[in-house]
Amino acid sequence: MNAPSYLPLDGGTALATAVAAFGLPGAPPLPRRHLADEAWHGLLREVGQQRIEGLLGAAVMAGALPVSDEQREETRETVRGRAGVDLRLERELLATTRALGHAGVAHRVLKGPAMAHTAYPDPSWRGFGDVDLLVTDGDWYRAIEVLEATGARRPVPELRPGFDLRFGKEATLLSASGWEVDLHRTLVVGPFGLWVDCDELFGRREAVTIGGVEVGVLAPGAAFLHACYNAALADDPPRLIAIRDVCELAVAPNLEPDEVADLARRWRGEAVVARALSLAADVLGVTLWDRPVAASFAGRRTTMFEWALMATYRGPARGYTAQGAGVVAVAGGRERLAYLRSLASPQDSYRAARGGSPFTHLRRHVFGARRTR
Amino acid sequence: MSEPERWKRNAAVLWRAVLDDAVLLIPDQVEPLALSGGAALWSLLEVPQAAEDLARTLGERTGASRTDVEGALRALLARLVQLGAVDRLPP
Repeated sequence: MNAPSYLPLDGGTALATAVAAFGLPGAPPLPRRHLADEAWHGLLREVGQQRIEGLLGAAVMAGALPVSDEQREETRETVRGRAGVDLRLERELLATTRALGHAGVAHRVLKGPAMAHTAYPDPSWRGFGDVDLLVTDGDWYRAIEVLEATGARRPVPELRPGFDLRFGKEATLLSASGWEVDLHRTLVVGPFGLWVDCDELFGRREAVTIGGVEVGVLAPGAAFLHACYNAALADDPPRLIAIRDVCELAVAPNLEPDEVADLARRWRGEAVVARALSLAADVLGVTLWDRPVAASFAGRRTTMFEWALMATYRGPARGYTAQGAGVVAVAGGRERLAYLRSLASPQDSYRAARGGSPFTHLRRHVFGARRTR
Repeated sequence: MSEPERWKRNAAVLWRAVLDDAVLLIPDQVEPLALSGGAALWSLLEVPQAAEDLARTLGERTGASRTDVEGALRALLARLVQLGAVDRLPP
């Protein structure tokens, strides 16, 4: 079912999608001859933006993408550059988890490093751009204090005192070395993040060893849902590596379809999973609908309400529209008022750091867009 | 005959395979180190190995003689030990 319907793509992007799907069952073919200079450099640019340098290296190394000698060396340099960033981020990750561990702060490693070491055949295939860690509500402010004690700083404070713990998704910190460390309370901003049962994310601990150190990661079912949320909601257009994550986890033997279906239902994320599975077919040309994990989502109709909520995650103001839509997931009139009040009237330190409130930014996007018409 | 000394990569080294190279981020070193053509060696060093065995395996893969490989290999291993990337295990 659901035959691939490719999105309209320019040359570099179309080639990059083929690279992003390299090695997956049913992946579209790569060019059989080495590319002309213009196409090659377009591909290199796109590969860098999509953080799929490692997949390019793997395709070249396997002989699946023929290259000239010069292109091979450019590939080597490109992949080496990505590896250098990833390794430095892993060092930052280990320093961060060590500090949190010493302070007794429970945490889980999310996204890039966790995916690289658990889901991919080789960690070099999965590049990343920051460190993402999940911490519990009980340890939230303590975790920030611990990292600040190591020299990290939080450039943008929470919207209002206590907002993080009631409604927040994450806090972005800059480490003493200048790397971005994102502390997460939940998996995504907006309503779909607020519907996630955060305690459940800590229910079952899986571990992976990085640099000789064991670190905790999400259990496979929660990791799959997180990958779907990341692919379907985090970026617009979605990053190819995020869609690849969905594919890697969907074909993994340790994924339990019933568990995924149950989590998606309870977290009200079924439409998000269905969209992520569709993206694999529509963007990468890799159908996952025949996989056991997709059975519960195949043929599912997205309701108007789900469609409208997912639409708030798209467009240039998506950070604000999705956050605003989060009000539907806040329980109780008083809490909803508090949520909206925080968005409309944040504390002064937040305004100073961001140059206004979320509503101000949203207005600028909306009215700015109208003025340009 | 006594057992030869063996070599094993330091588990604390962060690394990536980059085509046939290995890129290492060694504890206490600021910059990553690229071992050109070193992915195969780094992979073999996951388990303790004698230099003779490493040289034989690498020689078979590259078509070079074990003696030629072993000389360069011993120098490289000594340097990697010095940098903290590889542990030398006594006989």
